[in-house]
Amino acid sequence: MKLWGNRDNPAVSSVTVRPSIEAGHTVRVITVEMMPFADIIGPKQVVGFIKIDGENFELEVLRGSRRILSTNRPVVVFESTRALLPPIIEMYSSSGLVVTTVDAALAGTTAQDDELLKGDNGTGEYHFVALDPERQQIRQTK
Amino acid sequence: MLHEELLLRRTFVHLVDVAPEILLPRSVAKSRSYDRKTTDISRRGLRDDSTRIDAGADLGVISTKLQRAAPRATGMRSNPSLSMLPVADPVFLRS
Repeated sequence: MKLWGNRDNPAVSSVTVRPSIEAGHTVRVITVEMMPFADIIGPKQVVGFIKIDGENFELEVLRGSRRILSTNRPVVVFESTRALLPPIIEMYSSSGLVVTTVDAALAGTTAQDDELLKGDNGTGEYHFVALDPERQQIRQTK
Repeated sequence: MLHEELLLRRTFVHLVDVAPEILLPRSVAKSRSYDRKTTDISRRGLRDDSTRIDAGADLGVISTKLQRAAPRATGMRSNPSLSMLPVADPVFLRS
C-alpha cells in the first residue's frame, strides 16, 4: 500500500493525502507492506491495552485487530475526528466494547452517543476510549 | 543528521514534560495532558502479564511511560521511522 511519508515529522505520515498537514514539509509516496496486528500477536498473548494514533487510518487498524478486540477486550485509547467516529463506534460495538471520552473513562462513567458526536465547542477534543462495559469502572491499581 | 534530529525532538519532549503549564502553548499543553491521561488509563487497566500495543508511537514517549507503569508487560510499538524513509525512497536524501 502507499504511504505518504513525512520526512520532517514521520509521526504524521499517512495513507491518505492531507494537504493541510503536508504543506511546507518534505513528503514522498512510498510503498509499504501492510500486516494486521492480529497476525503479529500470538493467540496466547493477552492484549490489555492499545493506543491507536492512526492518522485517519483508525478504521483499518481496527479491522486488523478485530480478533484481539473480541477475545481480549482490551482498553483502547484512540484518536478520531467526529466524522469518522460513527463507523468506529460500530466497529467497537461489534467487538463488545463501548466508546466513551477519556475524561469519562477516568471518572468511571460512560458518555452518551450524542455527547460523543456533538461539536467540540472549540476544545479540539478528539481522543476517546473503548472498553469492555463489564470493566467500565476501570480496574484501580494498588 | 537523523540521530541529531531525533535527539533534539526527544529533548524537546522531555522539556515539555517537566515545564510549568503556564509556559506552554495551548496546543502543547493539551498534548501533554492527553499523554498523561492515556498513561493513567493504561496504568489502571494494564496487567503485568498482558501485552500493550502502541500503534502510531511517534517518538515512543507514551510507550516509555506505559513501560514504567507496567514494567513486566510486553510492549509493542509501531511508527514510520526517520531512518526507514530514506531507505524506502532515496529521493528523500536529495529533497
